[in-house]
Amino acid sequence: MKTLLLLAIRNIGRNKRRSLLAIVSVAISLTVIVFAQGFIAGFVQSFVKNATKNDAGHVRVATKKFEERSRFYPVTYNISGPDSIIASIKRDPEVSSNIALVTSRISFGVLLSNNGNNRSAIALAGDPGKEKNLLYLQKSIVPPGRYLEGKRDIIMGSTLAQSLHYGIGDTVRVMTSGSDYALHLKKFVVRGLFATGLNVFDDMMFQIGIDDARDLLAMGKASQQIIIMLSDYKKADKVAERIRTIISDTSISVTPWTKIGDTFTTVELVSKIYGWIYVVIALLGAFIISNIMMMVVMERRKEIGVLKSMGFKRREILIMFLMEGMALGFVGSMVGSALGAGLVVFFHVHGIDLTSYMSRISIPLDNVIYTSLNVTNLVYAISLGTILSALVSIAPARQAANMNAVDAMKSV
Amino acid sequence: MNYIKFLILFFFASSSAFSISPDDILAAMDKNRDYNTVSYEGTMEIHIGGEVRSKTMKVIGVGTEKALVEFTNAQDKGTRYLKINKELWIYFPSEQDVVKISGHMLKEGMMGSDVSYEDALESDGLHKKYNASISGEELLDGHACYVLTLDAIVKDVPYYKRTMWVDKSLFIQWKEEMYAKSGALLKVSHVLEMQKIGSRHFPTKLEMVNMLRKDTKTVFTMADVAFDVKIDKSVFSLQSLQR
Repeated sequence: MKTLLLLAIRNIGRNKRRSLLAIVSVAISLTVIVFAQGFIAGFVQSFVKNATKNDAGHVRVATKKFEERSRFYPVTYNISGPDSIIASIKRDPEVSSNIALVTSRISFGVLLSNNGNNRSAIALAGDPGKEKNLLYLQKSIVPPGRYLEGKRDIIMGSTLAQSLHYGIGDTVRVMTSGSDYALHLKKFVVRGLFATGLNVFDDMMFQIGIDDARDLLAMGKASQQIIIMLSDYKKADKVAERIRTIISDTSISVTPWTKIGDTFTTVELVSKIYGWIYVVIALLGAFIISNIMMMVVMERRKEIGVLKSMGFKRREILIMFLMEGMALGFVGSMVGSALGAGLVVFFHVHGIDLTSYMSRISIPLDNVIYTSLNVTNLVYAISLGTILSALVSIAPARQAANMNAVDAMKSV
Repeated sequence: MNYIKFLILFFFASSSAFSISPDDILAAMDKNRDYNTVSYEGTMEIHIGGEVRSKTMKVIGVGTEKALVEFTNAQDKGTRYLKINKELWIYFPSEQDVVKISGHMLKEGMMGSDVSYEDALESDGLHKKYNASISGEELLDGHACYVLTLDAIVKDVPYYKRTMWVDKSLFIQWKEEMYAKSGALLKVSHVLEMQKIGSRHFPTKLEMVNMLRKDTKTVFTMADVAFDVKIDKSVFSLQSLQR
């Protein structure tokens, strides 16, 4: 086997131009694949991060009735003792070691009106201090505004405020149905306008303190949701399972982000689609190896005849040509992966600015995507390039292996 | 010949037993509500699941065009509703602010009850908005009733179709079913108690069930009902609402 490998490697060097062509073709494909993997990884990270921290967190604790109707943000199905549940969660060492943050939150829909202008909006109410590490809205406040500091403070998306003609210092009347189904009104003062660059935020959302929300919605000390953010979002299923064993109240549901909404389904679908796209790209790049190997076999008919007459078996001829194709693919894959990894690292630092495209869509994505390098993805890409190169070399290798030694030696 | 005359007389006599028209029935019902002014102490029990929330209020009204409701129970003390014709305002004492209820908000239940703001705003005679027909007669809880079917003839109605069980002698509506245009049953109301006050038969305890909500009903009781009392009409103003 070692001899065959050495022969294969030597044969690659016999026609440097042709070998370089094959290597470059595979390298281009692998560069594209590795960069795409890095971009998609960054895209998914941004999507999961924004979809979870702005909505349900990595794990959400809520009543079962709320989960059934969660897309309507109902305020009538609440957790009556959220503080004791949070304390129980924090006491468990297995759960607490994975938690980055846990907090109560209330989200509800409302129709805001001002001087004849009406807009649907969504209120996010939480502990302002904890929401700083969740929503990060304090980083997006447009000067001279400020973040929430006291009761009746409200911060609003800049686009939402503009459409309703609200400015800093203006009074906002929020009227909505509370947890008792009755209409309630509370007035707030605009302290800041935020411009996150996320249209789903800037165009629709406002933030108030959770105590103000509880007062407005006649909720007492209850909470609509308990949001848990983990240090690793991939552990959500496991942590949720553990939390379920801690909470004895059977009316409470503990749901990981993978089971909420369409985020996980979207991520899975994107990964699957791109998985197939990578295979196609690698196949296209490796296809040139098949053509080159066909030419090599035709050129070296006499040599094949000599090898066979020297005692090389059919299987050994097959393996030798397969190894040649595979070696070309492997070298091309390594070069392409290195180039692709270099691009991923560059854009990991500098980011890819999609601001002009994001203004037309409203999905929870950052305007700037930072690519992400992953060793597993690199190994996968190199393996894909190498294996596909071997696969496309099978046909020419079989042709060489099946040649009649006498006829091959007689050929010109 | 005598036999034929008898048959003709019998036929006309039978017809005249149903000769009361639907409009006559509606007019007789309206007469029970024909007063210059009214005042009463109201109690609204809102049943949601196993929970009961009780709200008390003082109500004064001028005909069916103007009404002022002030809540007196501790949780809602000072909350006021002002109705002037088809417009409704709410005064929130905690915010010292008045808001006009309009649009989709009108379909919300008053104080979380099964009685919507839209229900409370109904003032025009039903004959102006509905085409009524008598679909039969029934005995309901011991009361002989006409069964009236009302189909909307204008767009501006909260219920496209209504079925009413109207007492044949007292012209009180003991039961009503309210339907959407699709035919879906939206609400059912029952009069649980009735009093004769002066010449009027007036329902003093009603139950309203919102068929779109599970396990809920609202029971509204009126006490100390008085008609044609002296009322200072200046109270029916926005300025007065915010005092």
